[in-house]
Amino acid sequence: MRPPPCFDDVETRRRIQQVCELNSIDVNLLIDLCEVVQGYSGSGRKEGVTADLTLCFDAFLARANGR
Amino acid sequence: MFLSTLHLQNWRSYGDARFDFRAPSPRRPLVLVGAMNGHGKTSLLLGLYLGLFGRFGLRHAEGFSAFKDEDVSFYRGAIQKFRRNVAPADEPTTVEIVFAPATGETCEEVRVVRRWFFTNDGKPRQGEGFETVELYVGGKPQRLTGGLDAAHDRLERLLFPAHFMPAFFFDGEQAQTLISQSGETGIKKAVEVMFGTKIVEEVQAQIKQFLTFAHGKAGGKRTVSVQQKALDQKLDERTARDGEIEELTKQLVTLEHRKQELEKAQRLLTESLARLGGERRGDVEGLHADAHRVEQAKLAAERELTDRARVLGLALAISRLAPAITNRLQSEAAREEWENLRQGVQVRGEEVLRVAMPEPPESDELLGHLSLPLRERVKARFGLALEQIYNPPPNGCAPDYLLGHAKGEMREKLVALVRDVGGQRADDIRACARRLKQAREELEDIHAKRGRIGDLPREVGDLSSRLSEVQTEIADTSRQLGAIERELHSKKVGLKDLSAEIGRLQEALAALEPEQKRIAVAERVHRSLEAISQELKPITLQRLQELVTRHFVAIADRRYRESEVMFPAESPPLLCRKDLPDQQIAMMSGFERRAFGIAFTLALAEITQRRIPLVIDTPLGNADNEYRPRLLNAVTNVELDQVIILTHDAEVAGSLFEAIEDQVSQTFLVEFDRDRAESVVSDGAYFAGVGR
Repeated sequence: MRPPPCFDDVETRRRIQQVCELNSIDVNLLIDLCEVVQGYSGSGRKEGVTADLTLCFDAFLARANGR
Repeated sequence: MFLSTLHLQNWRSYGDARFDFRAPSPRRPLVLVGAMNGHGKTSLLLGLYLGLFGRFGLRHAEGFSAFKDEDVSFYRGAIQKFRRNVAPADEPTTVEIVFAPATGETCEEVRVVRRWFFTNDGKPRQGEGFETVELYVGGKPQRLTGGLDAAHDRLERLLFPAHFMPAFFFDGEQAQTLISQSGETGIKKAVEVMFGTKIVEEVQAQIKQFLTFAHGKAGGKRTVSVQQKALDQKLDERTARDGEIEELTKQLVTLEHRKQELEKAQRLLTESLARLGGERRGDVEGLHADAHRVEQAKLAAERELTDRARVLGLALAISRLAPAITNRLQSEAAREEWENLRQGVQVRGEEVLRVAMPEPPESDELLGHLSLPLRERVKARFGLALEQIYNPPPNGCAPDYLLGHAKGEMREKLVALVRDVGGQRADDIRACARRLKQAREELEDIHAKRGRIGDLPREVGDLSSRLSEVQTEIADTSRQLGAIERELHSKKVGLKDLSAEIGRLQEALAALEPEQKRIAVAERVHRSLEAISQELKPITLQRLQELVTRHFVAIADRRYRESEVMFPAESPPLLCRKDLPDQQIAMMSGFERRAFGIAFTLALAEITQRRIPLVIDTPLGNADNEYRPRLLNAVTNVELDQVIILTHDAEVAGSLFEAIEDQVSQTFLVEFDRDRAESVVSDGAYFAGVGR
């Protein structure tokens, strides 16, 4: 799934990047989270969303540890 | 994404009609659907509205703007009216819409099939049996647990929000509705949805739920480690510190710009002063020399002209007598010469006689023997003979002296003067007068320059005073710059320390249990999303305003060139013009509203980067000949995959058609067949006599 356009736009991407750096996370984590939420949106089912969010956090922690 | 199929069954004037749109190419994004009034253009547009979003699309249909989404019975009645009145009772009314990925797009095909069912007596079926919807993504049927509402949400995610439809499927006549909705309610917010800022908010809400769940699982929020709290506090501090640094950096940049401007002004002023002190001094000296030279030239020309004027009177008086006077003077000169010669003979006669008849007679061997009386008679004869040498006077001698006062050299000068006077030409006098005029003008210029240079001291004073002010300002600005640089340095040092501390805390947190690590990350994500949400909203609005303005001024009347479209909070859009009161777009002329609608559509396509097809019903309407090409140019020169124009025979035809013909990939002609009582679609056809 394509990330929201605000992640592609040069100016907004820069702002997002700055905020992420300030909070010691990366932009990819936000994109992954957006994808999860978008995937569940309109489907009528919400079970599994927490598990998918957890996977995003774990992936981020793995990336952070790898750095 | 492009609209690849629209299949209408028992829909208004359509019995069973398909529009199969070919994949557009970047060079040929246009599709023209021609239909006379009442033959099916608006039905096509309504098919898109209601086929995609059902009752949420109804209020965008002409005449249904007051419809409330929750008024289901009204909706059923409306669909009953839209059902083809001769439809077989056992057949539902169906709209099938397919969006396919355009070249290079990675998204999947989206297919929606919406059906409405009726009883044998043509009434809408009761309950949930009235309407069904099927959704296919990439050819796979989607499970829609929440029924119609779930389909609605999915479609909004896959395509665009329902209330965006009037922007992408645009009815020129309905521009007013679009304007009202764009300002007061949803479209502005919908931009946030499509731009992605809305999803950011949704993720934020989801993370909040996650945190509640995770805290509960970990035994409550209180168990979150002390390090996490300390980290949160430090992160907040760092955010504040970053804000301060950003603010100081902005001030620094502003002051640096100011200083650069002042230094430039100082350089210009210094140069001006140098020019006044150096080059102008040279100018003054040059002017003095010029003045002297021109003064001399003027005096000479005046003298010459005076002389010429003086002789002009004489010339005029004697011009006819000049040859006679010259002849007379010359004959008198000849007489004078003759008289001188004759007088000479008379003077020398005695000497000649003494030679001829020497005295005394005894010494005259030849004639000494003559008697005295005879000798006197011979002498007298010799004397008479001598007188006859210059008698009579030669030809050309004046008989007497009329101008006897002029003699010798004076006469020669007089002859030369009379000749000169007789030969004086008007051209010479005019040339002389010109020289005088030129000399006088030059002299006036020099006097004027001298006058200007007389103001030099005042000008120097003004420049010096301004230079002094600028230098003072530069000194002040430099002081401020120094202070800010010191403060900035201090803040940055503090930030470095803070970051080091944050790093230590994060390392400490990294040693925590996995769940607590996730909580820590989720907390940071939540905080980030909060900040992002706050930052991106104004950017989104600003971007929308800029883009709508750009497209609007390209289409609208020239007098709006310097204007700006604004979307104030909770009020309809405005057109702000310099030195003029703001104007509500809803109160502008029909065409300007139409221009706004199209500008809005183009802006949306650009800001959201969505490759959504643009369908425009009668884009030109009753626009005059000046507007038509401008508007058509705006619509056809956008970076969209597909632009479908619904038009009648008096609109996109003639030279307008020729102007866009190269961009047209496909044409359709919709004609109402009276025998079959339905609109028939012909792929590849268009109005007779238009185009290829």
